Amino acid sequence: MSLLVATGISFKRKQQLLLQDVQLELKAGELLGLIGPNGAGKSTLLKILAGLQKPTSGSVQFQAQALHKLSTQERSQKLAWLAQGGMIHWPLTVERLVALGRLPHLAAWQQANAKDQAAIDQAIQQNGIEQLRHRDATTLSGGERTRVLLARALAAEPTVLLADEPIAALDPGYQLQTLELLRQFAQGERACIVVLHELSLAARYCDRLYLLKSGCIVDTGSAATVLSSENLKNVYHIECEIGCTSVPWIIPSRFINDQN
Amino acid sequence: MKYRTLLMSLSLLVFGLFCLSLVVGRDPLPIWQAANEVFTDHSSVFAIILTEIRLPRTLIALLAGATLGLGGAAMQGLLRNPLASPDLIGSSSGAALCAVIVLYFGWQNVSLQMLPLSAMLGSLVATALVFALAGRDASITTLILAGVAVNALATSAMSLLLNLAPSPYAMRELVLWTMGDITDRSMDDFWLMLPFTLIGWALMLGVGKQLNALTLGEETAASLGVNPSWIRWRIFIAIAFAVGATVATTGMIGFIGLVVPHLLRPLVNYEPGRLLPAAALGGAAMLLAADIGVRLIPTDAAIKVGVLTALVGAPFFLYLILRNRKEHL
Repeated sequence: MSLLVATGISFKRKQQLLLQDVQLELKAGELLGLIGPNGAGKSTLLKILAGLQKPTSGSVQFQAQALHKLSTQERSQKLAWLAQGGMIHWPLTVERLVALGRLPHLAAWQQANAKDQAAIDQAIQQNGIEQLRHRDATTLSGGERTRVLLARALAAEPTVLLADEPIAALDPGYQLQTLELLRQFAQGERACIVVLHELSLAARYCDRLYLLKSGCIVDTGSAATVLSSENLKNVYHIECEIGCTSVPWIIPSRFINDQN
Repeated sequence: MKYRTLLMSLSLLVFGLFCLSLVVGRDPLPIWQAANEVFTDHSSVFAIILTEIRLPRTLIALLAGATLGLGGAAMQGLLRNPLASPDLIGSSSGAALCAVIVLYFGWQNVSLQMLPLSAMLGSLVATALVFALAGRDASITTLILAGVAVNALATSAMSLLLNLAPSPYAMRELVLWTMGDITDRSMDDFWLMLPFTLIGWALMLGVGKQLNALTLGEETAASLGVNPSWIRWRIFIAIAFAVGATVATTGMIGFIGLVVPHLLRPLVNYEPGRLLPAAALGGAAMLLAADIGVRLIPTDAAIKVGVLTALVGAPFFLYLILRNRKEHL
């Protein structure tokens, strides 16, 4: 079953075409990876899929319904978006910060009930941040902050999670732990799209990959198809050692300078 | 401290100061006798002092203080910035300028509502101008500079009007008015500011959760179902209503919107939403206390309450800047 379908998405800002005729489909139970060099349009595409930005042309459908026709509350309950980096402006405690994830489920004057608290507790536990529960969220390390913000997104119990570079600030241990968590999340009726720069991990964890370059989808499919030497040369201007022992690995070996 | 305990304590403090404000003055008022005479002999001196001098003054201090505290908390939550307040970002001076224009030309005699309405318009225009100058994700410096520019513009326009005042008496009246004062106000003034103030409060108190979400930035807040631009305009309009009506009644009373939210924020675990009611109560308590204070300070000419809050608030502002500097060292 398709959860999200983007058709003919183009996006222009200040006369610059950031996305061009992008087609994308996310099925239930899928962990889908968006890869591509910096400035390829991955984050913009993710925002459009989350309903945070209107495409210049094209449409996004969520469960066969036009995304823009969903009420704001319905959209925010079903689709969770995790920002790249992530800002925390006031020194809230970690628990109160994770609790913000429940906002889409609460009416204007409604207080969190036992069900909300259970979702918050579960998100905290899943992300292994129990020991941080009462800490000031602005004093966390980059890795801790990422896990807390991911817990905030998961506390909403969304159907689709859209995560923009969630492992960028994490050490290898937490990178694996976070991707395991996303893998675990993207099961049954739920699915996840994740923007990644770590190609080996993208190959290992994602069911399918979309490779972007200059706002266009260059290739899509399984990691074995997308992460070919030719594609990587064309998109990243790199030569790579590609292999698979117990897990797939891609090691960039040389940057190809077109000017030479 | 638990949140409910904090709100209860602040409410009790406001109630205590409210009662004290009715009693304290240059001439002591036997409150029970005065209250009794309100019902039995309402033309007695004590009854008149209570109902026509102390009560309106106290009620106006309550409304104005709560508005300034709440406005400061809402503005700081909106901008995610502890140095924002209605007086620093031009809302108060915009309101004051329009009020001074009305007073200068004597338009308040055309209609009673002229003064609060023009002050509200001035507040809205000034606030919108600061935001337009500073841009959406303005840094603390840009925002304060934009506030300084708009404040300077409003102040210079007010100076021009003072300069052109037709008589020394008119000039004195205008100057005293801009200092921020709640003496010689009547129940009519209170009833005039009440509806606009209540509208502003209702608009501000209803955005607590959205302000909490803005802790994560505007885009994440939008993904949580918040419409940041709607919240921004709602708070602008709320401030225009409440601060505009307050400035029209009391003149410019500075620094409450800066100091009170700052003092109370740690007690609500830094949650912008929870800070709103606490700052409203805290603001009311601070202005009531300042107004009692000016009555107790033995000076020949009565000190204006706006002067006292500025004397306390300005050093506090300096302290905030110094602390901010230390944090960035």
